[in-house]
Amino acid sequence: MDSSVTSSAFEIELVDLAKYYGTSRVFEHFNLAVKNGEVVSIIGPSGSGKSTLCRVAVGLEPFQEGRILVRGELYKSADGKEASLRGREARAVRRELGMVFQHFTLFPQLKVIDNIMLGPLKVLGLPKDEARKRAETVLARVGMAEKADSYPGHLSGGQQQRTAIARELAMDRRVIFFDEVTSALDPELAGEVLKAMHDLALTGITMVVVTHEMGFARNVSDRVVFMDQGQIVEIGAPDAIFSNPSEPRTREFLDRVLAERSRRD
Amino acid sequence: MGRELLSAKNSTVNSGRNPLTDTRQNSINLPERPTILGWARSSVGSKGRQAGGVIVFLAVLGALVLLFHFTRESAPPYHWEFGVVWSFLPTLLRGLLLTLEITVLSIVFGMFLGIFVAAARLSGNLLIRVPVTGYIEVMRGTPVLVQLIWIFYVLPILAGIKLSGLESAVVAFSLNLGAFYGEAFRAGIQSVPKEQVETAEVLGLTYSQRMHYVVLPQAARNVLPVLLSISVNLFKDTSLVSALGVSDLMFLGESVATNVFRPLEILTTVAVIYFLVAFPITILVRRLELHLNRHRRK
Ligand SMILES: Nc1ncnc2c1ncn2[C@@H]1O[C@H](COP(=O)(O)OP(=O)(O)O)[C@@H](O)[C@H]1O
Ligand SMILES: [Mg+2]
Repeated sequence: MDSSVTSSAFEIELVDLAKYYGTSRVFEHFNLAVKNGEVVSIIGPSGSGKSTLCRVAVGLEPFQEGRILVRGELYKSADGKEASLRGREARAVRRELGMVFQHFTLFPQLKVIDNIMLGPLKVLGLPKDEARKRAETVLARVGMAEKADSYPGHLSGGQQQRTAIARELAMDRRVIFFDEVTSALDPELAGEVLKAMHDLALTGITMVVVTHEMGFARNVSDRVVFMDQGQIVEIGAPDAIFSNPSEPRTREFLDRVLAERSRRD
Repeated sequence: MGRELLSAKNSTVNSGRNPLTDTRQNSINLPERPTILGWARSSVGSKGRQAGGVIVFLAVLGALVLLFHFTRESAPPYHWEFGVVWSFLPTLLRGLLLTLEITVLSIVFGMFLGIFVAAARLSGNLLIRVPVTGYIEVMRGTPVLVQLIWIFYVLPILAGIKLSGLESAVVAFSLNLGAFYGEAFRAGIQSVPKEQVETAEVLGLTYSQRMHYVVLPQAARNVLPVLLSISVNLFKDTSLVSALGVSDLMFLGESVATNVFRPLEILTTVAVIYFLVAFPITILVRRLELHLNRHRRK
């Protein structure tokens, strides 16, 4: 593969990105570089642009300025003119970027196993028995092997999200974006999903995790980004951010989240 | 958290980029056929109602019998003579055949038209969307009988196109159904959550693969019962074509009834024939709904 020839320490780089909805700005001059195998957690109040960032990065949303590099190669630019990767190569790179949503992620009319096999069959073009073997392997990895023949509607929210993670694994992703995948879950179910994500982090896959789970951000991530109003207010090692934030806004946010948490418990 | 879920759903409605989710309408705006629709919807998940339908039917029949019994005491007695029905049954069934012909033709043309109506309604182009919306509103806002008569009497004067009663009926019903089916298709497509389409996109499926594997199967599940209800309604509405002199079940029933002076027996038989065709389909609708919802959360 061409793209593996250029070696870069960074798996994905967002450079000087600007994103507008009409005239309303979500972010501007946004920069974030994620290293190979790194787990980056993004925290911040709602409306700060975390979801939009993920959506732009995986190609669901167009953006107005800047560019996205994958392993050092220009993958996409805002104007589209200078993109160095095209056609088949661009599609190959795009296939390496996955995303898990908060809601409605599994296809309800398909059994768990068919949800997993759809991508390998139709996108990667694997033969059926190979796709099935792969699906069974990834389901086992997230502890969902015995639910292969269930419909998503008959699974708990936690099981659904673990299945969604398995589906990304079956696609051989290099980077997976997680957009508040546990926010709709009870703490107990959230726990099993977070554990699956933790296991995943240990395998060396690159992860960008938008989360409200401060425990995960602190214990699993390599770096934590605090975002507010479309800007990175602070970025650093989890211990630095959580024990000794340098920005008052970060401190304020963490105090508020921790207060909410203790009120709920 | 509940709010988040709600807003995630609402965003299906607001995002203006994806042609599948682009809408200014509520996402589950099903066509307005209130009685059948409400009834069909409320019947989700209850097998007991099937028996309920039969019981209601028998109860109404019983009440009628009682009513006749008491009217017999006060008014001059009416002697039921269902024997006469037998000799005219072939005539009535010939009418039923024409009724079914009108129904089937209208459904086929209506479905075909409905696909284009739905596509137009989902189109970003105002020049396409606005006229089609107007057409739908006219179809929904005027009585079917008026539409029928308009095609039969007014079209020849305005456009010089002279259609037979049968042709007018099929044209009018097809146009009417096109609007209702079209709205059902559109609602079905838009009832698929935005995240579903996006997940499929991130997965790497092409547009036609997304439609084929993700959107249409879910849309079909959501609208199939509605389509069937609309179609059953049409079957009953075809009785209006007797106004144009088309010899359908209703028309032949009426003429036989007046000719043999046995209107009660004949018209009751006509009602029973309509019922015997429509009722199994309405049961099928309920069965289908249960079946299609089997994969949903209980
Ligand atoms: N489809 C959209 N159209 C218009 N504005 C949007 C859209 N999606 C998000 N926004 C706006 O962009 C900002 C960032 O939203 P989002 O990325 O969802 O934030 P977060 O995920 O951090 O809560 C918000 O002000 C939101 O209202
Ligand atoms: Mg968000």
